[in-house]
Amino acid sequence: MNPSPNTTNVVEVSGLRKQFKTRQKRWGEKPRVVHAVSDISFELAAGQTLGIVGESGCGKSTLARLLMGLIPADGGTVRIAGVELQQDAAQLKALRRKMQMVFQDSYASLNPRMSIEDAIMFGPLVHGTPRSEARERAHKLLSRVGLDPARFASRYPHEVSGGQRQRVNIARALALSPEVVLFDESVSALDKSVEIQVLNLLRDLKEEFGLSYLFISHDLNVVQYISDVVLVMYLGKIVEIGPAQSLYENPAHPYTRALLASMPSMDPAQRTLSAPITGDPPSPIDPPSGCRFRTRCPHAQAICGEAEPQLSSLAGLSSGDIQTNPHRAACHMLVPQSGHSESPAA
Amino acid sequence: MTTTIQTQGYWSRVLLKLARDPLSMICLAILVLILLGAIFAPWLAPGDPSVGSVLKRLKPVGTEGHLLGTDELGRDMLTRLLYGGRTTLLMGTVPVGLALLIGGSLGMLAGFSGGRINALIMRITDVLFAFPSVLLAVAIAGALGAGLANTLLALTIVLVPPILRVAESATTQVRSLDFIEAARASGADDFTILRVHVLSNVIGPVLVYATSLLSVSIIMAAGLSFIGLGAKPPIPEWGLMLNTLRNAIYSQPLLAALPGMLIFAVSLCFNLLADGLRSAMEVK
Repeated sequence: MNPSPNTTNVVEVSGLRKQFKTRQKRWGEKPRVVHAVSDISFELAAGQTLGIVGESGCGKSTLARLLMGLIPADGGTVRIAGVELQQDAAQLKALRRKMQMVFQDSYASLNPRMSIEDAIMFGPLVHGTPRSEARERAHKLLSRVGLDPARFASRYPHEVSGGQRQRVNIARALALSPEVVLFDESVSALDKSVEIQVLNLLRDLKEEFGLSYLFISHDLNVVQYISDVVLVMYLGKIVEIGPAQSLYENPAHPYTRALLASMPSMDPAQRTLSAPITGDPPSPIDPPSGCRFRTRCPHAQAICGEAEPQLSSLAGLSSGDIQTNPHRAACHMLVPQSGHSESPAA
Repeated sequence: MTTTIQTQGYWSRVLLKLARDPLSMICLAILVLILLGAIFAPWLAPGDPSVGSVLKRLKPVGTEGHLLGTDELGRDMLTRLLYGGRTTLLMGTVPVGLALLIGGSLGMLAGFSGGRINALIMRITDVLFAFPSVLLAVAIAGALGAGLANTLLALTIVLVPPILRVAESATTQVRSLDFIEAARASGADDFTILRVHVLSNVIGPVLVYATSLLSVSIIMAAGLSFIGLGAKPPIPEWGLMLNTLRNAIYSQPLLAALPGMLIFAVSLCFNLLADGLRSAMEVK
């Protein structure tokens, strides 16, 4: 299933799993297991952007921390630029030059007692870059992200606006010259007008520095705007993955369809009054058997509770880069022999 | 924009705000005056702190040749107060400084590691906390015996737990913030993160708290000397002087109160300065 290390893929994730145990509340009580990320596999081709969408609590942020090696995985592998991520200090340190992260909270992700310049210089200094060189690079990056170094370098995080702070965080991520940058809801907290400026900046930076992006967001419009490939997560599992255009035009999984139907639209004819799906996702502590979406799925049948649907290719729908991420979805309706009586036709 | 807008660092702004607070500055001036008097005692003092005259015992304040009078052995009070400041200030500041180093680093370690290391360090701290601090100081000093070094040690042991707790809670607060993860993601090891990112956020509250402990330390040091567990005669020390002069409280009340007034002034100034520092640090 897992292809051999491929140089055109900068990130290869295979069978990644992470479970958390809940705290024991009483003596003798068995700790319960939260299935945060279950069996996630995907590839990111060099120069592309992979968008990861899903509701709050679906494991997006856990996935981000797993990919960054900030928390150890329970199973599966992550390869960055062909090198497998392991919990080995020296190897992790080397790999971290290749992959950097921009967090959601622009304020909490900057040390309040450190000037902007020092914050950007910190990474290169840790990796042994001489101070003068690190400062020069920090100033260059600041002007590249649209902040005048003369005005901003010695300021502190609380002295600049949210959009400017997130630009600082982007400059900080780029300071180590990574190949991949992971954005964990990085533009979600920004005003719409600032958000689009930052998104355009990200596009330009990607071209200029030859980056690849992993872009985690709950905002489908933003993901559509920036992504080449989109991955939809539900309760720690991939429900659908595919080239952005194909996925947005022909969503195959009922969950993806519901998500897309809930997208705010500028077109009055597209407006819906009723929510396509209701309620909160079930708890990842005891995820539903079989298909995890069946409790909220309008098409759920007996088979959905019995067997877990596997990701399967959509015949005739795949387009774009077929080798890396063909359009696939995990739903029994897509497999004729599955025992589900309905067909995927909407 | 051609001119460079320079924003000052956090600490220079805190100090600037502190400098604009008149009460803090008055306290600082008094403390500096007393400190200078203690440092330059050999040059400033009119006499020898341990040489007295039986003929001139318990002369009142304002006596010719003895500006602040003489004590029960006829030694010049001004001289003894100046020299006494050396001992008292030493016993006030050194234990706090040592406790700041030990308690601060252990507290940061406990807060940053969490889990078992945290539990181990904090439970040991709780044991020391279970004793009233003065009682603990008396017990340790009593067990070790009188003397300057033992008093310093006893006071340090007493002051470590409260500083450790403040450092631990401040560290726990920053530990889970994103900038720590971001630092880790840039490849920094735990020690670097502690040294650079945690320390810069923890040092403020810990320093303010330690400043407020200076007065506690001075009063405890004086107290230990008063009951005979601290400085030993004939070393001049304010608490000890308070003790030896207590018999003169009816004949020369002002004279007998002089060391106490200095202890009061110094600890009040340290406390007010700590308050000023605390409010000055509320700048973002």
